[in-house]
Amino acid sequence: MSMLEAVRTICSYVTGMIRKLSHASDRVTARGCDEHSRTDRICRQSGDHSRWAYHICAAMVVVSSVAAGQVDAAGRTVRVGVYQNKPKIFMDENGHASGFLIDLLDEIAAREGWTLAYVPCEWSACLAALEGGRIDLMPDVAYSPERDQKYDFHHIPVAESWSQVYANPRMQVNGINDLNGRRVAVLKDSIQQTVFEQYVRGFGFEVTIAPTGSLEEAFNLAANGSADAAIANNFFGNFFYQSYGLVKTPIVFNVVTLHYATAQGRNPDLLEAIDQHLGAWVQEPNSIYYTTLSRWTEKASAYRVPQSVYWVIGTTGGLLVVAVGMVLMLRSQVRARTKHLVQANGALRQSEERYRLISTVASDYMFSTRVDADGKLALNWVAGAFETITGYTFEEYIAHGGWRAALHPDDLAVDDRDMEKLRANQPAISEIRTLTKSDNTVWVRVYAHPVWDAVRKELVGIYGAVQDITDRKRAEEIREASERRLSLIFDTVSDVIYLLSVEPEDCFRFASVNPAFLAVTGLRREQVIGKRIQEVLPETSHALVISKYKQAIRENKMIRWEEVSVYPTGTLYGEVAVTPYWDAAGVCTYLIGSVHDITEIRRAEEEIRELNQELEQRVVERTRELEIAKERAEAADQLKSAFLATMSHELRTPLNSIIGFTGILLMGLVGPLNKEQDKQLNMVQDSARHLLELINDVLDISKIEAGQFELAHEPFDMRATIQKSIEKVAPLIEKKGLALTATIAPPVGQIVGDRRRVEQILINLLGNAIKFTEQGQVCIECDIEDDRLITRVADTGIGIKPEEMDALFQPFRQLDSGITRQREGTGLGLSICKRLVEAMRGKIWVESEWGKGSRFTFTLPIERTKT
Amino acid sequence: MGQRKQIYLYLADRKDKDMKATVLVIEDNEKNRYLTTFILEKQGYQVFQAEDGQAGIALAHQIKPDLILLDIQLPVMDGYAVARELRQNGELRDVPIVAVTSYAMVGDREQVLAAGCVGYIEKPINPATFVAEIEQYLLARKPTGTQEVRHE
Repeated sequence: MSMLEAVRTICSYVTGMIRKLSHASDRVTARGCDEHSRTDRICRQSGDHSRWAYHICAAMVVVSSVAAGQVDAAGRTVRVGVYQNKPKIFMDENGHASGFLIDLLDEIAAREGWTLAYVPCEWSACLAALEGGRIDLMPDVAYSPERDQKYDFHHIPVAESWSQVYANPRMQVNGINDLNGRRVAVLKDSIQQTVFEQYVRGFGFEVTIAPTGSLEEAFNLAANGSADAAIANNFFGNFFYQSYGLVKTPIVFNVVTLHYATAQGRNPDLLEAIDQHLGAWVQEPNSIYYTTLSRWTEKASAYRVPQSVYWVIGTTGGLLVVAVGMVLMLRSQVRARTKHLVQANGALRQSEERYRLISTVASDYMFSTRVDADGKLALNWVAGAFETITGYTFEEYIAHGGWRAALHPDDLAVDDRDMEKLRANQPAISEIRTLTKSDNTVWVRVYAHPVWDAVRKELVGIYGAVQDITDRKRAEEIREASERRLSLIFDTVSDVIYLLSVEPEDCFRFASVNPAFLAVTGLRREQVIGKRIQEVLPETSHALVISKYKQAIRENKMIRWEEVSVYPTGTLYGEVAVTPYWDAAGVCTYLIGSVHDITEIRRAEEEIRELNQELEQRVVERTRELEIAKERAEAADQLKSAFLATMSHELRTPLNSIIGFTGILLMGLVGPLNKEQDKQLNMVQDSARHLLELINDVLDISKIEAGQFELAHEPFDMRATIQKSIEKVAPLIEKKGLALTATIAPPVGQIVGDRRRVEQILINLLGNAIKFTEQGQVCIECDIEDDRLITRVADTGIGIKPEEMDALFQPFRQLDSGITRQREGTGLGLSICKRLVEAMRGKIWVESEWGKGSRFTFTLPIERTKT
Repeated sequence: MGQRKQIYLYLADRKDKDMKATVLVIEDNEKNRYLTTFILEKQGYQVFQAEDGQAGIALAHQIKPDLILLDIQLPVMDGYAVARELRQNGELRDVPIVAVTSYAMVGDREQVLAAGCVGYIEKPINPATFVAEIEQYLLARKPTGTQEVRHE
């Protein structure tokens, strides 16, 4: 066969194909226009098919002439599974396989000379049939690593599909945040449901899922308001949303690539052929691929993911949120531009410019990195507030070392984890610190997504967005610090603190309690939280606390009271206070309570009371003891008196004989004495008298000290008393040849007191003066000054040494003991004088100069007689 | 020695008037009883002795003495009781009783006088003045009140 012949043969074949194609197009167009009369544009466009057919023909001629061998295989029958997923693939009401994927397959089959046998089946049954070899090819299979284990896929995706949110028109949905608290209808147990749930949870939003049995039902719910929005794949959504009266939202997620799949290892020729055709068509904007796509969609451009991320679609196997979606979610104010973006019609440059527009208004930037020639990831594109956030220009940033170099040193590990995820073909979202050019720390939230080479199964790039969240972080840090402080107080304060939720019908439940509450009550947290107070507090206190709680709410103020509660840990005396908390709607939702433990105070009070009683008891006992002691002391005094009386008697009785008989002998009553007898008996008499004097003084001082003496209180003549005392000592004066002068002032006369005791003092002082004076004189003076009687007895004797003054008035101290034997006396005289004077409320003292003499003075208060 | 002369004067008076005056000495100490008896007999008094209160009262009833010298601290019955007993007896009511005692405690003198004694002589006695002291009580045979002789 000559080359020319061959070409002619091929051309006739192609011409037949064109006719066939035109016919098919018309059929589809007719039906499409019937069902979607609004899509006039699509109907008009379909008329262009024949023009494309010629182009294809030309291409096919080349292909066929190069690979002539394949023409032989063209006669084979290919069994194709068909399930219901309008408008991609479905059986129409006439039992014909139809839809975007079917049309493309028909096109390929026509060129390859395959005979297509369509096998209707449920989705899962279709896949089972594919595995079981009952069908050869299954359209509309999204690539996933799992499926890659079971099936073979051609390389160039036939389409990219994603999930998109379509909303009721009353909703303003510009981002995922607008769905917070809303109700969204979604196909039950579908991959969309799983991904969407993860998606909203990841952002911390609460969205109610309304599961439906079909996409139509989901759209119905959104349309009639039972749901606020519905989720559908973009093919279904874009094809039907207007007919349901819904609006498209920019929320797009779960981008997958769609393929025709075969069972593993079987029919690789089919896949190869499909790749061959698709590869040619997608490069050519006017190819049959795009015309078919347009026919089955609202608008062709809506089916193109923006070219800037086109390479992602080509390689990614992930179920990821596209960067567009993320940015939109972050910034609802860019809605208008987002619309442009979603509808962007494909030119790379245009799209990039649009991204810049989006990003420049926001505090975030977008980026992409690609594997460079060295196999390393390198930043190759940024857009948006990059310079604002980093402080670098793109070139400076690269020169500085890029992303990694600008990270906060403490957060490198976070980035390492992110990279690990990305290398496992998983998205990474993290909050991380970066350093600006001027070395300021900026908190950013990074949304990074892998660009995955599904064939080589490796990461070939990353794209994503970076948002400045410094302000939020700072606010969070401040709030967290504040919360930590509050929680520290709550957890460590020794007082019990609790929060009660107020429910209808006087029901109060523990919403929160601090550790002190658990420590005091001995209960575990789970025994308290969520429990009614009746289940927690001792029964005895129920009525009281409920009445107090109600009072606090009624009077809207803090109520305090004291309470005794018996817990397993013991009895608690508490000072309780509750305060009502009112919400914005004016409803009392909580009561805040505290209990100050006053058990110790009460115990201390109890102890004090007991101690008081004990003390009182002890006072009673002590009083009794003292009474007994007093009785004993009185008995002892009586004994002492008896003893002194006995001593006095017993000592005087023998002295009576001694002095008496000596006196008789000296008187010569018995007979005349010779001179020596007389002398010695005089000595006996002197000694006996001295002994008597001693006994008298000892008894005297004993009596004074024992309280066994009384002072007389009667008028007497002081002048006469002095004179009498002088008379008593006169013999001694005469004997020593001293002069004695008495100077008694005229006022001195009758006074009231104890005459005998005053006389005793006078004789004692005069006797002492005489005793210690060898020559010179003894003077006695008496006068009245103010209300005191002053009596002085002065001598010119040996005087008293200064160091001996102190001991002078103490008992048994006769000064200068060396001369004691020369001076007769008991050593008790001055001691007795002092005691007597003081008993009479007077004073006695001495002035003296050693070797020159002494002067004793005593005073007595005067009580004048009434004359 | 002027004092001694004075005593002689008194004794002279006494002798002249009533040489036969009877004195009862109630004293438990033998030596002191002898001392008093000796002094008084030397001066011509008739002296009777009793060793205790009981015996003294019995003897007093018997002899009806002109004067009783009474020790206070006596066995069986003390001087106070003896004095009170004698004061209740009609016959002996006016016989002067002079306490001769070594008691020297507060209130002793008052107690003695309250018991019915007319005088109080503290031991130890002074032989030189003793007779003169008791003479006073003999002279005031009919007591008109209490009178004390001070031993000073």
